[in-house]
Amino acid sequence: MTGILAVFDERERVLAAVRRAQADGLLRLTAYAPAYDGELVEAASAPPVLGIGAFALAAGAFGLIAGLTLTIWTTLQWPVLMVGGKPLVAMPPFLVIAFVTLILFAAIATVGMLVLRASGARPRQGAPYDPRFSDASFGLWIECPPSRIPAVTDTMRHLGAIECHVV
Amino acid sequence: MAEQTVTARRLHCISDEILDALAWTRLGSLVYWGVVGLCFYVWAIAAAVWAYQIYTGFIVTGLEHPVMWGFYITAFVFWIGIAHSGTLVSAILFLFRAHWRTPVARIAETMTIVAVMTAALFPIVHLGRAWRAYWLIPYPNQRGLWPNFSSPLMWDAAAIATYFIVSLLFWFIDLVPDFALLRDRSRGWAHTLYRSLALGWSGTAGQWRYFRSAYTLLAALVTALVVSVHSIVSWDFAMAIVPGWHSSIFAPYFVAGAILSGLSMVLTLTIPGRELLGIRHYVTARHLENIARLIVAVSLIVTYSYVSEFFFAWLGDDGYVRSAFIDRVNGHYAPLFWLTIVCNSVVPLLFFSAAVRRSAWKLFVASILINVGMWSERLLIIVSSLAHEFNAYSWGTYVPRWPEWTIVLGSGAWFLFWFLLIIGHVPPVSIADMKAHVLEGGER
Repeated sequence: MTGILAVFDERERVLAAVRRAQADGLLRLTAYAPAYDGELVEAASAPPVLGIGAFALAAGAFGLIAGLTLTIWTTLQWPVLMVGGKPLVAMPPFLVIAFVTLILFAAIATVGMLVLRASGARPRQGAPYDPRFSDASFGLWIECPPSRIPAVTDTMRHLGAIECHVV
Repeated sequence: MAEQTVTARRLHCISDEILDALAWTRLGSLVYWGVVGLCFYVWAIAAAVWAYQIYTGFIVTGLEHPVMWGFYITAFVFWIGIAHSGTLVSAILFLFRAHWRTPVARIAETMTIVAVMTAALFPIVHLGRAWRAYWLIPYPNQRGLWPNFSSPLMWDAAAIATYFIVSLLFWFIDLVPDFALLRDRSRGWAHTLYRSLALGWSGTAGQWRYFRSAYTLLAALVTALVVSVHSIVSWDFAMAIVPGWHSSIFAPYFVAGAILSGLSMVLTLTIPGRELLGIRHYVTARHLENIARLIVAVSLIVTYSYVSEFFFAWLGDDGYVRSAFIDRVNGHYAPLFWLTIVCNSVVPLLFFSAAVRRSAWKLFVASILINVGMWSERLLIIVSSLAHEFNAYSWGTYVPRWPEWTIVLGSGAWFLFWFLLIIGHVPPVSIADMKAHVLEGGER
């Protein structure tokens, strides 16, 4: 795999470079940014078919059922503990526990999916990373055949890349 | 390399300035390690006193019939209240896109985690046989017994454990991009540590997409949890038929009180913290003023709750409740009542004055007074109600003794110890959020 790693120091320039590369049919690219930038994220990454929210919702539903199951089942294990005249299986107090487990499972699923998805969104295999990308610079890694490297390098420089590395 | 543009210089400057704040915690810094060491010393003494209390039993405390909940449960409710504002400030203001939250969010979230750690000690300290605290955990055992999930104390245990875990995740996730920066700037063992904490973060557009989505979702979950957890804490009291406790207003009343105390603690920690950490450029007078505005709003809600409590005691036809509230105003605990009113209802009104809101030291003094007021409010609610129940024959008073004072003061040292230790080793302001704000075209 060959490609070019272009380094930029303005978000507008890397954004223009992403759009130009896509217009030129170079779709295998990875953009780096030191902070969240909505426009760059929309331009350089595709939304997943199933978002993290869907998994959080499923985990929350599971947590709700798990909370109710735990409270009802454990109560029925020793069916003599009547408290304050409440029925043995008293839904209002059990719903408090179920709500808490709902939130707990949803939150754990959210973070779990973030870790899984973010590891899948790491730079493509063999794509280079520059430590400046976590500080103040933007990057664009474009996979392209060796024959197109000179042209793409020229384009990137023309669009404001401060450095271009052929990898 | 070509000269950096304005944006790149500003982003680089943010990294440098915020990471410089960590320099004061290096091994050579006597002030930092001196304060951390002093806090350790104080809470170690408190731990020794707790061991003494376990050895001798509760006879050494002031807890006796009819007041069996005293300083320890007050400390528990107080610290839980402090814990609730940190994440609330961070999460709710994030959801409302209030950008001014960014510089104070990390300090507030760290405060939350440490305050929950502090609060969680007190139900155990309050146990005569502390080593049996694990009985709260639902697990199969040889006795065939499970915890009673109809008890508000079980709700409490479940809610607080969940709150701690979710707050910790919320805090950690926000730190991942900053850990990546630290990884890229460090060497040796520090590099290895930060590399593992950064979870392979490289800042690709795809990673930022998932990050923002997960962070927003967690903020929403945390917000729901914050409101529910302090409601659950209030039900520890409201579910009992004790006059002064058995009230449907308790949940919103406690939530508002928690926000008030938490916001005040954010001011108490932030005002000296921004000087010590050298982050005055980031945590500016405008941020402190905005927190003061929030305090005024929440204080008015808390005052409304105070008035409502008395109004319903007067309106209702329950002589026991009316007697309990009259006793609060002019009985043994009246000084606590008036201290509460002055600190929580009157002092925040000073924030209507721009001169007070814009003076850091006045805000600092006021924030400490509000924290004193919140402590006395918790103590008043818990102790005066138990001391003045239905039967006049069993009315009593509670006077804390030296073990309670030592352990409660030690909890403050425990809180500061962990807070300083954590905030001294992670960026005190979210670097990635500050940069995102610059990229959006805002001022830092």
